[in-house]
Amino acid sequence: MVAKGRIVWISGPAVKADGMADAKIYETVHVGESKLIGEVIRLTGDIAFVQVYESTAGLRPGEPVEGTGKPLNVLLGPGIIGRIYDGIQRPLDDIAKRSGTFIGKGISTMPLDLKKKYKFMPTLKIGDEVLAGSKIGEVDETPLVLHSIMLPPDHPGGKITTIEKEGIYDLEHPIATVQHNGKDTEVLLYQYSPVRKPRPYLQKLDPNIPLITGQRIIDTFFPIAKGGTGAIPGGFGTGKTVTLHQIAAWADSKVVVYIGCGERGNEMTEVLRKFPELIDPNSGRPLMERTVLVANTSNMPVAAREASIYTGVTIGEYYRDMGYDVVLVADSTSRWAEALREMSGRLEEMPAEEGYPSYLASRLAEFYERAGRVKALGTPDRTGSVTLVGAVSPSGADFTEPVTTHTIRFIKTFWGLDTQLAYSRHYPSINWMSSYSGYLKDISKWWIENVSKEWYNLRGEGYSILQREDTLKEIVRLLGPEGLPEEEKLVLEVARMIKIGILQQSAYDKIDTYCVPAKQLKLLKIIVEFGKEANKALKEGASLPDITKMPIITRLLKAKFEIPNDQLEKFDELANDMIIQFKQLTGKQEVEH
Amino acid sequence: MDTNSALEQIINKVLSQAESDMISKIDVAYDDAEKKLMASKHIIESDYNKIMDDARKQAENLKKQIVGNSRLSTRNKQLVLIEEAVSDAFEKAKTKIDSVRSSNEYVSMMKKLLEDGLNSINAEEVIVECNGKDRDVVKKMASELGLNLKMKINISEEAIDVLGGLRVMSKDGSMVYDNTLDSRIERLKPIIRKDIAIMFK
Amino acid sequence: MEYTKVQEIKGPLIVIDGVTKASFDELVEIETVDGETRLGKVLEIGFGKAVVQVFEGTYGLSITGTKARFLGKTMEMPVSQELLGRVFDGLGRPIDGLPEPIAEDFLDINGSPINPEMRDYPEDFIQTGVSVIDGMLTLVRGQKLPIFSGSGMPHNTLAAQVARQATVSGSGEEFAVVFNAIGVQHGEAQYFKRSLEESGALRRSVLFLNLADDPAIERIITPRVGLTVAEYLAFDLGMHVLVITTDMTNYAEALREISAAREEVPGRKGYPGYLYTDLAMLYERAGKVKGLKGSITQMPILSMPSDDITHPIPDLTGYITEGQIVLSRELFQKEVYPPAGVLMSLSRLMKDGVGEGKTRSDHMEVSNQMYDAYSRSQEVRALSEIVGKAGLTDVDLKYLEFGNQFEERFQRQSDDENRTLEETLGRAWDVLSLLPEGELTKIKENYVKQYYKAK
Repeated sequence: MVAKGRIVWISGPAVKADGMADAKIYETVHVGESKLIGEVIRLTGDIAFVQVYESTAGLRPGEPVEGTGKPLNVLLGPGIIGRIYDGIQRPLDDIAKRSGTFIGKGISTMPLDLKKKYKFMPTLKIGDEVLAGSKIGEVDETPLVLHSIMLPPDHPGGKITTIEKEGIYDLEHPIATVQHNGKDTEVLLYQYSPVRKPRPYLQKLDPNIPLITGQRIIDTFFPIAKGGTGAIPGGFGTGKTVTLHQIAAWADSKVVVYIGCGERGNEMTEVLRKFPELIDPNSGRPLMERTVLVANTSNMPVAAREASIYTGVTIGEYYRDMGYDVVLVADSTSRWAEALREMSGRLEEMPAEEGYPSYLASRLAEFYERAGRVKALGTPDRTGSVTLVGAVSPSGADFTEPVTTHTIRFIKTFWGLDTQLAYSRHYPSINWMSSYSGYLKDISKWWIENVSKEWYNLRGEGYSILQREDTLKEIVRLLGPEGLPEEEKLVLEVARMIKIGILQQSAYDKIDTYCVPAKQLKLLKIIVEFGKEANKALKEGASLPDITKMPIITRLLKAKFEIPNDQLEKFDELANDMIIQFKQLTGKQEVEH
Repeated sequence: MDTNSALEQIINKVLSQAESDMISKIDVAYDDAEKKLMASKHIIESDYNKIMDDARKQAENLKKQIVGNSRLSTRNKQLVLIEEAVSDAFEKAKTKIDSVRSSNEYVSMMKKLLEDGLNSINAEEVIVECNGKDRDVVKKMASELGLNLKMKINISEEAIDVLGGLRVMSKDGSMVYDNTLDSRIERLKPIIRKDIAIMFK
Repeated sequence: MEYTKVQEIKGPLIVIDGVTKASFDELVEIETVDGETRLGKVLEIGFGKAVVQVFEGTYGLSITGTKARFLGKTMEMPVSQELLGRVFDGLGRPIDGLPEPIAEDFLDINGSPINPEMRDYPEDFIQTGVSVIDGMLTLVRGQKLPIFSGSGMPHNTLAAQVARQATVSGSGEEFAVVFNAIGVQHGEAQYFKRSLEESGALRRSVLFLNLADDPAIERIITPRVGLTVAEYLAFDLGMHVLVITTDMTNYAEALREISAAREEVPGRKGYPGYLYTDLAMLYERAGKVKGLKGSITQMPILSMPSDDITHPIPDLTGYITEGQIVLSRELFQKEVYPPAGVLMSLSRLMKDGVGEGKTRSDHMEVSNQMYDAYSRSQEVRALSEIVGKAGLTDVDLKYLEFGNQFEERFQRQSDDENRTLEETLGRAWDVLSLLPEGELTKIKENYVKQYYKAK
């Protein structure tokens, strides 16, 4: 029996309705004559507290509130990829068809086009046994994503009694029948999934494969694993969004879910415009063919912003269950936390720090816990992952505020953006002293097996130069550079080369925007080698000004722009020239005339 | 060769030398002068251009200012005229009401206005106010409607100063539904004004 | 429907009892005992009570004798092309002695969010004639670029200069200015009006003035009314509208006052937790829309309390806007106008608004190099204060000189000087040419060859 009540109180996105004794907590309801979409978030006696996902202006007490009997859920099936949804999975293009330029109210739409036809290829046959989550066939969703048709995770399983042949079917066509205890159930090309509950899996696996993003400071210095968690906190203007766009564009995952949660409208437009033009380096296809956008911009209703995170992660888990690596980028989790705070305030709950509800930490923990590399339910064996990367927008760029401090507890990779670096136009402005990665050890095996044995040590050497520079900088600040011995001045010079030649990376340069692991290693290696050779030369009597005037330096610094990912042999030439120049410097080789 | 002619030759030579020296000097001087002239001409020209540019800019600004502001004031005069016409039209319409007060249309409108008010207040006992001219009509309608709706309707003794229509309020006066023609016209005024203004364009 | 049972008056709010028919956000007309009327809106409704926020304040209201008329609609602004050249108060009522505008349409002042799918990406250059903006903080159509200022600094002069001088390429494009004054002093508002008048731009401007002595709560409405008109001019009439709003700090303070009266749990510094969302509802009304001709560009001005950029108002603004122009107290004291501190300033959309076919092909690289060099010159300046000029290398000394000339030749200009883009870039190359050619690592070789002025 669905609840039928009446509105008794309205304040912004919060509505109270009486006569709601039959409602369930987290049930989706229709609010008012215009059937605004809402969700029950608290029940007291027969009064339901509803958060409404649309503007409540014009709503009056006395209007009806009707339950739907269902929790807030998403519709999962072919057709998700390449689309842009709002926080409760309404396609924004459908909304635009109904209400034009501006978002209207009370618009209900289908998240997927049920009439659209897809080519289905069965992978099982009549008589095969299936379990909950088992894959029964495939659909070509985009040229990049082969979509597995799976039994819903709450399906009892059983024996296939009918299954369609290879052919073209729309989403409403029953594709197979499964018999369990003598009862037949139809399997469709789509399924519903509640958003606030993680989709179940068989087993969690260790995250020991790096997510390659092509961003040097991330992959080489502070890597994240597939199925891992990472956070990017940073004040405004530090380039958070550019960094997130870079991860979304270049990460070596099969599917990308990008959640614009309480952020700028124009940023969504930028993704929509740029991604169809960018080409996936692994497949040669437009990036939009693997991307889903969830856009609940800052001026869209605040309650739907709260939901957008869950909508996105549930979509991500669905593709994970197909055996794919999924990257989910949430920009920004701070705005999500603020939505939580606003609803909590309207509920008149007792606030904790800075007005945030006391359950902020547990909600953050629950969200990041949905990351992971897992073995999916059912047959055949499939391993997939969801990697969660959350932007944090600390107020006043103060990393001690509640959202940042709580987030840090639940993530393993921390990329701290630095206002001072951004002011001096060092991008990405990830601070190498405050950032860290908890996956370094786990993923070094992959680098050693796939790129080079030297990786772990080289990274260590490179990083120790940066650490030494950090200490020496203090002395320079007090005494000026002249207070340092030559050997330490050299450390400053090599550190400068690492910063410019490796850490700084231009998102807008055709070559530099994406750097393959092998190139990352070669860049690091050649600059570390330079440091060693220079040190040796210094000991053999060369002067530091002579070293810093070496023409090879500019070439080393420009190698990131000038050597494309597919011409890495050019590094050998560069290394040769470097050795020759050092020999000339120390007089071991005559200058050629 | 006599000395004279030799002398002459020398003199001639010196002279021609001097001449060519002079000519070349003059040439140099001329070149110099011309160069200087050219250079200063360049400066003068750029000065001239700058002065002219500035003046032109100023003139353009002035023109923009004058044109802009005079267009604006013409427009504003027009707005005032339209407004006067609109007010006139309103006044004329208001005086017409008295002439229709006894018509069937007016009476049935009054009935709708009263029903509207009674439904909105929706209390057991209400007070209705209207002007003196409408009082009898309202009284008659109220007694009929009161029976139907099981409401006690009191007609206020005091007449209110309105064109027509009526006002319904709860017994304690805490809720008032203003259905006078005056307030209805006021509410519709912005839309009516547009319709009237179109006729003047 | 009119109600007379006022239960409570607190701060800018009144609570009315026995209300059976009212909706959330509904417009309310309050009539005082003396017959004066004020406007307000419903903040909370239910259980027979309506909490109403009175825009003109509750001063002089009483529990008995006050009437509240619920008008059955949300607050609307009458719009038409004839609004151009008019002056209104902070609630959108004329104060120029001319009649009420005759409306083509009545629009809800809260607007509706632009569907992100329908947005068109901003990428058309707006020339402001101000070198530091055109050269390094380029404004584009549909952008929201605030000025972060401090008390006494010339933010209004700069904004007025931009309003007078802004031009867009492409002839026949209609341009308009909407000016929202929020709690500003009489003199400042007059300055703007006069400045628009003198350039003949008043004819294409609409002014909304809530002055320092006008009711504080009205300030919540002023920017909304202005933006509603801007949307009409831009998206219904196809104009390119520049909206200047000053001072957003006064707006946020009015918001705080209401929040305090409602006894809401405060966020940072007593500002409500929803300050970000509320500001976003205003700033996000900037933009361009697919298939429509016009655009809304916003330049909100806010004064940072104690010049503190981490204060919630500039902080949250910076998270929403597409960059910021930060005025620097230090440059202001050096009498450099406009005193924009370029290192803290940023135009996020610049990269898409400049270059070949839009401005000039070397523009972005020149800008990057200028940033880089100016940042280095600041480091050298700081270092020279410790070790003295004698401790600096030759190259360092050149950077020091670059920094000085950057401020003098490139940045400094007068408030009525309208520079062309060529002149701005020319001056940029003049100062870049003070550095050794080899230092220009961010500019492509061919541009250096073409523009670098060797001595």
